Amino acid sequence: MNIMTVSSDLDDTVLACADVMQALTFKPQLVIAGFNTHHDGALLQHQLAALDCPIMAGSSCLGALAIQQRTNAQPQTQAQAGLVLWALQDAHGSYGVGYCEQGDAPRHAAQQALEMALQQSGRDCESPALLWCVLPPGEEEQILQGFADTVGPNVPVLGGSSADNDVSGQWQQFNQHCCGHQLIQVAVFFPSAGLGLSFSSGYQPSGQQVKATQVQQRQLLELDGIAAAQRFNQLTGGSIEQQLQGGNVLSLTTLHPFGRRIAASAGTEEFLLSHPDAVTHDGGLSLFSEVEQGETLELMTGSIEGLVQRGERVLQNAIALLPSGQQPAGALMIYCAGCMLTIGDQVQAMAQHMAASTDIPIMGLYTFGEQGCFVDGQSRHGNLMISAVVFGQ
Amino acid sequence: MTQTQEELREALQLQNRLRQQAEAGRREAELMLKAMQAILEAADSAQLYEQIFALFSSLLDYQHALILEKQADNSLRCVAATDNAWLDQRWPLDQILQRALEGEPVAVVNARRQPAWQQAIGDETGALLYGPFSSQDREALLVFIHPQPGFYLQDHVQILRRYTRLTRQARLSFEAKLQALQSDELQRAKERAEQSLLHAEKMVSLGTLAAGVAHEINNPVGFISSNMQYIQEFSELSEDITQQLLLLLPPLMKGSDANATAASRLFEQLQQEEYLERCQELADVAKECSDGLNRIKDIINGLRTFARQDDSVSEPIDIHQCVQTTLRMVNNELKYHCTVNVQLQPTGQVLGSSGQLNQVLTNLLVNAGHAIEQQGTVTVASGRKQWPQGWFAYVSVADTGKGIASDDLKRIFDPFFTTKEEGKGTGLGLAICHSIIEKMGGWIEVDSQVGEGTRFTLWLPESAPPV
Repeated sequence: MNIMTVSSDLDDTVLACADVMQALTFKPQLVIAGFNTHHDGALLQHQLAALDCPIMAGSSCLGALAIQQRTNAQPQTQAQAGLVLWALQDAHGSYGVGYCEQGDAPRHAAQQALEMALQQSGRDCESPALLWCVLPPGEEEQILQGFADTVGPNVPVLGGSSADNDVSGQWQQFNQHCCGHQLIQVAVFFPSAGLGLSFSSGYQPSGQQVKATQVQQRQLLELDGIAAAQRFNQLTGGSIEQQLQGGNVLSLTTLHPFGRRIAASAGTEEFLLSHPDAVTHDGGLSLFSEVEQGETLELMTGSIEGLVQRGERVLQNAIALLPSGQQPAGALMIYCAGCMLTIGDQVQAMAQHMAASTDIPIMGLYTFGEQGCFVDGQSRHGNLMISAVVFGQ
Repeated sequence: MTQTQEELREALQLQNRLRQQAEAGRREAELMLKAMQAILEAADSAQLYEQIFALFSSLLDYQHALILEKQADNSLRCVAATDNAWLDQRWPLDQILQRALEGEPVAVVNARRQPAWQQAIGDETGALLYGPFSSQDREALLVFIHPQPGFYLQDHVQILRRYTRLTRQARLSFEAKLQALQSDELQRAKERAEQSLLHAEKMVSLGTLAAGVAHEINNPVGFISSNMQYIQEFSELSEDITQQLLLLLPPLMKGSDANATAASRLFEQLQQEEYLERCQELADVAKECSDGLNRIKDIINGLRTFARQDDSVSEPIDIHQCVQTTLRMVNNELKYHCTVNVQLQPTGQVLGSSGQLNQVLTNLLVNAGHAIEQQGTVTVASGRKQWPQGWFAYVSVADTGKGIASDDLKRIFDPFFTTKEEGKGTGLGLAICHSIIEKMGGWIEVDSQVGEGTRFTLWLPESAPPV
């Protein structure tokens, strides 16, 4: 299996495409791409069609992470490259990309996209080792359900929701055939070697719990019987005092998301996070993921330092979970855009930690929602999460 | 502090996952070994399938498990299943089944997605898992069925892949070992054939020589024997007459006439010459000569038998019957100083002369008895074995006697070679045995340890393979 990451920081889209394609040393079987929305997705799609292979791309907040394998020099690491291609060549594996406009029926659209990907892989009856998805933000839970309808609930789904640079809805997705803002895209992987998966938050439970007493889809209307924003403000020592009448709280809540307990092995727990992004006009909190009414939520705490170290640890966990005896060949990562924005300039340090910890090509996307698979084998949508999938040689 | 707690929690989770992986690996390895044992030890296919189904039930969940065998018309037929309702159902061979048959396990999300299953789908048919199955001479598949679509994952495929790899390696090793053994057997058979050829050439020369010598000696031995009979009879007559003379002469010696004088002279001469004693001695000498001539006749008869092996009879022989007959014949030779163990296992019929086989067995049993100087055991065993050239029956005669020195072992089938005291054996018995067995298409093996005993094993080709 050959995996290679190539990246370009050229602003000119055409030149950036030429730059990355020139750097490729083999004809890929599949390309996963990430890009900054300062590039036009349609133009990228047009230029990269020359690769003549399945492509699945999504926009990534302020660019994408690219770590190239060491050659003779130090690894070339770009924490926020304008365009990154992750190329794979695996003669004994099978791969396919499918897509479908989300429309009004995201679950059905997800089924359609996955069917297309399976058809393209040539193994449409079979259970893939992995689904890697690039989604539009907003209906991820429904989309995951659609995937499960097609291949069952146990096939691991990892990926992220496309992001723009300022949460203004400029995110984009494209593939070998088309480009859009609301495209559900999924790649099926039947690799010839094993995989190591890790999905984790970088947060600690604070010990404070609240009950979601009134919920409407992704809006928390009440917590513990009072307006959700007010209760959250109390719990966090007035962190959103100025926004209680409404407004964006994305950056103010990044270190205090809600967590839902997911039972893990041997009595341990994992937490699926939900990130409040705004206070609604009626004092509710809107989230980037769904919670159930009546569900108990844990207030989580995090730190910048923890988030900086986080990427490397998730990556190392995934490597450790490769099948016994297999060496890593490359990795795909998802790093929550909210976390990335929170650590600010330290994103460089985060990338350097990862690059220093292993010598494999890695691409990472900064996303507005993360899909991943916990130890219980169930794939979920969460926020402020980090995931890694490592491919064995 | 918070960071440390988080790290600890995560490290614990990772360790748990790694421990789970390791435990799953250990469980899987144990089951793989058991599966290997099942493959190698199963008495028949039915037992093998049952054991494999049972073993996999502790490795992965399934509602039903099947074995499908490829048929001449390219379909797959269910030959074993955890539920007999599946037996004899057929599936058309498609790409997925073909891939699995070729050695690549496959997890199918839902049987409804695979056209080959359209005729076989039941309420409990959801996810499918296929793996190639090591079958002796047919392409076969192991199939697991789970009611929940999407239940089987690539993890399950990996388990079957490891199982396939392991069993295939084991089978290859087993077959390589078998091949090596067969090569050894072939090499031994070749050496035996070469030795046999050399021996046969020697025997042909000796046979021709023996036949000529036997013929040439037989005539003079005949008239010498006849003359010796005459001499013996005449010496006995002379002795008789002399005794009468010695009784008759003394009364005639009384007087002075010429007759009395002649009688006295004859009496003295008879006494001086010890005529009576010499007549008696002549009778004894003649008897000894007759005994010697009888031995020469035995040798000539042996040589004739040896030279006459081409006159073979080819009739089906029941080896056990031959053994029983021979044991009755030699019972008197053995019963006073030997315990005879008979361990007869089934054999097929062989072709040849039962009289000649009896002769061989008699020779071996008598030799075994002679090898035991005081008390010992003679064991007669039989059985069958498949050699590269086909099925052979064997009869072995083993004694706990004095054994044969290794130098002598090389020569025991040579004519006139004997380790018995002079005059007690012709040295032709084993040569004749060897010749008879070779004519029947078999061979004789000898294992001997000085002081421990000797085993002769006759290998004879069976006239038909076992049913």
